[in-house]
Amino acid sequence: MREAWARWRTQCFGTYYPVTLALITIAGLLCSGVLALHLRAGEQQAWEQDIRLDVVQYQLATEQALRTVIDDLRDMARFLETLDYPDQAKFAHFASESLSEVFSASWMARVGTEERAAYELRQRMDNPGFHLYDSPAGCRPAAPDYGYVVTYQVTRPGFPNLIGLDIRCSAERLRTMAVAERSGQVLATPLLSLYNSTHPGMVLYAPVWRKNAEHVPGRSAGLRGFIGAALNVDEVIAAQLRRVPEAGRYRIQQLDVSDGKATMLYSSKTAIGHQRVPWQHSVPMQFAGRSLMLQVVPGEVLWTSRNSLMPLAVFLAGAVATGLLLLLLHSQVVSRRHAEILAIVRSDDLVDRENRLAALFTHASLGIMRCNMRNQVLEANEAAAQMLGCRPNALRGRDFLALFTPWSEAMLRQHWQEPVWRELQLNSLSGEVIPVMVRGISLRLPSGEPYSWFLLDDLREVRHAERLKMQFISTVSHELRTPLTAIKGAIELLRVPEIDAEERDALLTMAGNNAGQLHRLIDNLLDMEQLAQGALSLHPRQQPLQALLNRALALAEPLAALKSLKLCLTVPDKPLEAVVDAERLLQVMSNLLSNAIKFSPEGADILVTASRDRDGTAIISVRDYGEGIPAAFRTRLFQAFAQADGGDDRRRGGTGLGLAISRSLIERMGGRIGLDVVVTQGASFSIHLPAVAEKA
Amino acid sequence: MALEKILFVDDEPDIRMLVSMTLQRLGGFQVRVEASGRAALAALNDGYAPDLVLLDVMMPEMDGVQTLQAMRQLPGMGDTPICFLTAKVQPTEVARWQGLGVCRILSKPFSPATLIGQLQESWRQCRMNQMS
Repeated sequence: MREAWARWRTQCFGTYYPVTLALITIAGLLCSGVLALHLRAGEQQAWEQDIRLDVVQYQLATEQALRTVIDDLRDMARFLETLDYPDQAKFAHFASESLSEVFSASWMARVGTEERAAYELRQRMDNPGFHLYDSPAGCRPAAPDYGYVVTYQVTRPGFPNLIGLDIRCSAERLRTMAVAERSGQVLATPLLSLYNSTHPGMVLYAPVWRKNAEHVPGRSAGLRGFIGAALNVDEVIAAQLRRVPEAGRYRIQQLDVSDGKATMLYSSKTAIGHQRVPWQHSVPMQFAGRSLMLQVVPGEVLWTSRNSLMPLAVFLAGAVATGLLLLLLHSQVVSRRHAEILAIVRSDDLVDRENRLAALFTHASLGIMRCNMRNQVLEANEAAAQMLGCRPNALRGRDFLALFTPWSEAMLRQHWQEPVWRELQLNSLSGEVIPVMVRGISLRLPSGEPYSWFLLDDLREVRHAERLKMQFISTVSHELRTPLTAIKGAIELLRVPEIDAEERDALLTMAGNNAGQLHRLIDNLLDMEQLAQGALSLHPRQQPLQALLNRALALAEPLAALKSLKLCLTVPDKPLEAVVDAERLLQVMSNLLSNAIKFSPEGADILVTASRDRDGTAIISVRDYGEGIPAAFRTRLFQAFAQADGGDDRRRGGTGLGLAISRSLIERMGGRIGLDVVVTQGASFSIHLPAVAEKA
Repeated sequence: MALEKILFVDDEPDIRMLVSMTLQRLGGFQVRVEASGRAALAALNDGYAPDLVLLDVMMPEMDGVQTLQAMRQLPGMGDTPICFLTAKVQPTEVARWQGLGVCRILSKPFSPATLIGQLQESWRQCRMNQMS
C-alpha cells in the first residue's frame, strides 16, 4: 500500500508533474468559484426571498385588497346603478352623500384652489367627522392644470376607514407610501383605480387597505357587482405576476400603468432600466353610459441592496490561496527532487563507482585518451602520458592526431568517423617511435556532442618478446644443427674407406659427444618449458651438501681437464645440511661449473666453497678467473634467452637457458642464486639455501 | 688453375675436425683450419694464400661477415671466393651477404660428399665471374 502510494506520488510529481499542477490549479479555482457562487446564490436567495416576500405580501395584499375592493366596488357599482349621474360633480356629491355610510371614496377632480376651499368648507359643515387629508406636502402638480388630490374620509363607527389616494408623480408615491407605512396604520397596497377614461384626471375610487382591518361584508356588497363583470381577480394577479420579469433577477422599482400600458421601472444587479410592458389588464368598462378604465397598479417593491462584492472577494481569495499552494508544492517538489539528486550524486554507491572508475582510468596499464570532435585531447591517463613521455595534464588540449607519425596520422584521418582498430605509431616526445594498437570508439554526450575514446596498447614489449622468440628459435635451431652436423658428418665419413682406425675413433667420439650435447640441449629446453609451466617436480630432501659438491666437481673434472683447469672445493668440517633435490642441485652446479670452465683461461683455478651464514643459511659459491661478465649483461644474466639477444654476447655451446633454469630450480628449493658483485677478475656466483635445524 | 688450398674458419672444434677431414681425406685439398676470424686474418697476413675461403658465420668476437669484410680489405684477397657455411640461414641475411660479395652460402648440416662438389662449383663460378 505504501509502495503504491509512494509510486503514485513519484509518478505525480515526476512524470505527470505538469498535469498534476494543472489539475490542482483547476480544482482550486473551481472550489473558490463554487464558493463564490454559493455565496451569491445565498444572497440571491435572500434577495429572492425578499422579493418573494414582497411578492407574497403583495400578492396577499393584492388579492385580499382586490377582493375587498372588488367586493366594495361591486357593492358600489350596484349601488351606483341605482343612481342617476348626469355629471361627475353630482356623482361625487351623490357618492359622498349617499354612500357615506358605506365607504369613503376619493376622487380627483380638476378643481381650482378656490373650489377646493369652498368644497372643504361645505364638507366640514356638513360632516363633523370629515378629515381632509391633503396630499403630502411637496407634491407638485405634474401639469399646470393638474389640480390637487382630494381625499376625504368619512368615519362611521363600525366601518373601516378607507383612505384613498392617488398621486401622479412617482416620487411622491414613494414618499406617500413611506408616510403611510410609518404611520403603522396602512399597508402599502396595490391601488385599484377607477379612472374615467373620458376624463383621465378623475379617479373614482382608489382604496387603501388598512392593516389588519377586517373585511366588512356589508360595505363591499355595494361594489361587488360593479367590478365583477369586468374583472377576474385571479387573472389580474396572475397577469401582474407574469408581467413582472423573473423576480429573482430584477428588482421592480415601480410599475406605472398609464395610457393603457404599464411601465415597469426595474433594476437588476447589473442594469437599471425601463421596460415597457404591455399591460393587458387595463380594462375598459362601460358603466351607465360612461366609459371607464379599470387599471390595476401594483405596489412598490422596496429596494434592498446587497453587497455584491463578497462573492468576488471570496473567489479571488480562493484563487490566491490556490496559487500559493501551488507555489509551495512546486518548491517542495523541486527541493525534494534536488535533495534526491544530491543524495544520488553524493550517495556512497555513486561516489564509490566514480572513485573506482577514476582509479581504473588513472592506473590502467592501457593508455586511455578522450578526445572531442575537434581532435583535441580532453583527458589522458598515466599510461598514455608515460608512452608519450610527459605528464597527463600536458596532453590536455593537444591535437590528438599530431601525436602520431605522419603515416599514422593519415590513416587516422581517413578513418576518423569509423571505429578505429589498427596498429599505428606514436611519436613520443623523446623522438622514439612507439608501435601501439589503437582502438577508438565514438560516443555521444547526452547533449548530443560527439567525443571519442582511444585505447592505446603499447606493443613494444610484445614486439620485443616476439623478436627475442624469433632470435631464440633461430639460435636454438642453429645450436641443434651444429651437433647434428657433426654427427651426420661423422657418420658419412665413417663409411669412407680411406679413413684409418685412429680417425675412425676420433669421429665416433665426436659423434658421441655431439649426441650428448644434443641431448643436453633438448633436456634444457624441456626443463625450461616445465619450469615455466610449473610442472617440474622436485624431490627435496635434507642432506649434507659436502657429498653433492664432491660429486659435482667429479663430474666437471673431465671438462676442466681439457683446459688444464684446477677445481678446488672448500667445505666446512661439520656436515652442512640443507633441504635440496640432489639431482637438480647437481644440475645447477654443473651449469655454474661449465660456465666457469668455458670462460676460464687455460690453467686457471675454479674455486668452489660451501659455508654457513650467521643465521644458518647455507652458501655455495663458484669463483672463476676468466673473462668476467660485461656490466651491460649483468642485469640480464639470469633471463631466459638473454644469450640469444645480440651477437656479441653469444656464449658458445649453450642456449642462454642454463642460468635461467638454475635460478628457477634454486628458487623452487626456497633459495636464491646470484652474481656476486665484488670480484676484480672473472665471476663469482653464489647459491643461498634456507637454514635448517641442525640435526642433533 | 684448380682448387687446391682452402682456408676453413669455425669456432667449433668438432666441425673443424669434420670439415678438415672431409676436405683432406675425401677432397684431397690442402686445408688450413683456424678457430677464429682473427686467427684466419693473421694467417692470411702471414702469407697464406688460399684459393677459397670457407667461413662459419656464427662465431664469437668476430663473426663470418666481419671476417669476410676484413679479408676483402687485405691485398690479394679481393678476388678470392669466400663461402659461408652456416646453420643459420635467414633470407634477409642471405641477401645482405650476397651484397657483400659472398660466393656461396652452404648450410649445416652438410653431407661431406656434396660439400666438396659444392666448393668446386663455387670456385669455378666465382672465378669465372671475376674473370668476366
